[in-house]
Amino acid sequence: MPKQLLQGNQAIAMAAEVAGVKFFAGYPITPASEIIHEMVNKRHIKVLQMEDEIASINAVIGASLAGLKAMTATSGPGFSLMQESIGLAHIMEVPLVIVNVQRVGPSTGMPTLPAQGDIIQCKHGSHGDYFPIVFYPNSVAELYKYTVMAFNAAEESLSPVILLSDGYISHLYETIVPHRDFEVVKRTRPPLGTGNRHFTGLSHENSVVKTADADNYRRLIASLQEKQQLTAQRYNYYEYCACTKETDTLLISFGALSRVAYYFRNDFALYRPIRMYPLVEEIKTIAARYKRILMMEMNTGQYVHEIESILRREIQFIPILGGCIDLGEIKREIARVG
Amino acid sequence: MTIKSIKNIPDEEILCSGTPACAGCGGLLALRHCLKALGNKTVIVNAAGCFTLLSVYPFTPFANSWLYTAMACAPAGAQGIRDALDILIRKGRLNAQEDVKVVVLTGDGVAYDIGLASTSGAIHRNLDFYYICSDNEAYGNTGFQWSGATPFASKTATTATGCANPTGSQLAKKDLFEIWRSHKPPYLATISPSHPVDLINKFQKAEQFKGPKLFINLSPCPPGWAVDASSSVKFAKLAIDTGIWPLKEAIHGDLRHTFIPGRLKPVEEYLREQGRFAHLFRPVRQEAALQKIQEMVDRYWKEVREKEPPPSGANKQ
Repeated sequence: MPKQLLQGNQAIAMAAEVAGVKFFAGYPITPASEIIHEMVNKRHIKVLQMEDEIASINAVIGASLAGLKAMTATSGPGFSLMQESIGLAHIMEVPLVIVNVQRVGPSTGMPTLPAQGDIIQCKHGSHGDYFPIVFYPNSVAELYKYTVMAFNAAEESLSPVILLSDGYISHLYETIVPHRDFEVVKRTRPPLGTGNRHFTGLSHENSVVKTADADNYRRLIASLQEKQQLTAQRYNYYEYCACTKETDTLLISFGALSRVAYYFRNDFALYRPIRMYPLVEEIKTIAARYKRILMMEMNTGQYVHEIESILRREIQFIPILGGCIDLGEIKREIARVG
Repeated sequence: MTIKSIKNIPDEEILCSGTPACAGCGGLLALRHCLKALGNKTVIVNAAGCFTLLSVYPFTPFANSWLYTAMACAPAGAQGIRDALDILIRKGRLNAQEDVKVVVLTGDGVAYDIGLASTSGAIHRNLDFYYICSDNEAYGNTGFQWSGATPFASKTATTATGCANPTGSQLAKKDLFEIWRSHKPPYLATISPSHPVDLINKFQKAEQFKGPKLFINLSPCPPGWAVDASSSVKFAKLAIDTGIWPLKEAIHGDLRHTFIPGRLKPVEEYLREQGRFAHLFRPVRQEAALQKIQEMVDRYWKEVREKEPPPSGANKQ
């Protein structure tokens, strides 16, 4: 397999094809538009540009239930519009993939510089309780790999899986080897229209609606949660680099920012979650080896609360805001908190 | 008061020079005239599009106020402003002389696609506002992707031309004028930067009406249409002379064309110099597609001429 110079968004589109996507619906938005630009050139994929992101995600839900592997791609503002239907896809157990190439918010923010401001929205953007599987790679090669993983996890969990990216990673050009030898999970559920099944956003058991049955609702939510946890265990992806020297500090970061963290590999141990949700449990044993935990994100503190919650200990936090990753600033911030 | 010549266009510049819009932006050319007609006591309500780039206060070319809304709901933002101003005036907290016109300003992506429901609601509620749609027939601000306004056979970033799809966009342009007209708003018109007298007169006529006053401007877009920045007015005029962009108005739904070309130029004259239609001519001339476009235009004007025989002097600009 020859090497190819690819942009992050191109890699996502290529990998989606490898994973067997047959339907794409989306709406233009920087910095995610290159994904639909790539998709329209693929012969065996039905690509629709919809009138907005709400239409996009619902077209994807329809296509998926009717038997096609389906995906959409957007950025923060569009991801916000999709939230109600993401909840719908969870309760209806619809396998699909949503790519969210993050940019600075709220609203139009700093168009269209990168950010990591949608971490909490991935987990809590829709109303009610649901348990998404979320991946966040940090290179073009990883975007390629985890796009396939996202489709596989979606098929196994029968749920919408989110692939996070950001304006840096998605617009980055890197040389990768675009393998096609992934194990691809095939669609097993029969398409909508066969078997007289009803898919509904109402609380239900199989196809039967049960809107006033508290016990059934509790069973439904518990089963959704268990299913997501079980699937996630097969996608236990993270990166841990023990420091070359003795250190008492673990530096946690992800996405674009984690590429800068590699600069500190001779000073600190590094941890990078790739599967953002559900949280990778191994962080507990890794963190136990270090007195101090330092974390940086391109937001005012979103994932740090998740890590604090799972570790039940205080974390020193460095916010990197404004779409700018500056090594000098990060060094100064580390010195300030440290 | 109706004006007869460009000499009668107001001298005052409401839209200042030095904007970050692309060179030769046809939307900006028209907007300059729209604002001359509207005056400077306006508040512009904008949803994401090319013109969003204009308002980076204090470096803004506008001598008026500005509100940015979510992409789907600029007319809803306008509703809130209009209602609040009306209440303040009624309670005596704002002098009626200080009232401002509420003007929604968006591109075609918002008007034809994501914001259509919000506009329908505002027209239905008879909101007293202006809507200027700058229609460059694609999402110009994000890389010229297809929109509901994209005409048949146009190349865009999402209707790429190639072996699988030699023609470009397979869908015809959505008829937003007719969609809006079905709501029977007090005033609705198409405008063009190449016909400023017609444009100014339409705004002046609209002023007498309380309720929605809607304008769709065909905005030549040099980067998206792949034409020279100096040729925007030329293509705006060719769109009218070939019959592709009819200049018309509708008062409470009653339609009238404000310019009926005596003899239409062939659509090819409009299409062949635009990069977005170049695939219709090279490497192989796509006769069927060209004929289809010509037939669409001919069919439209045949119906117009049956219903509205051109009055004498109607063609003067």
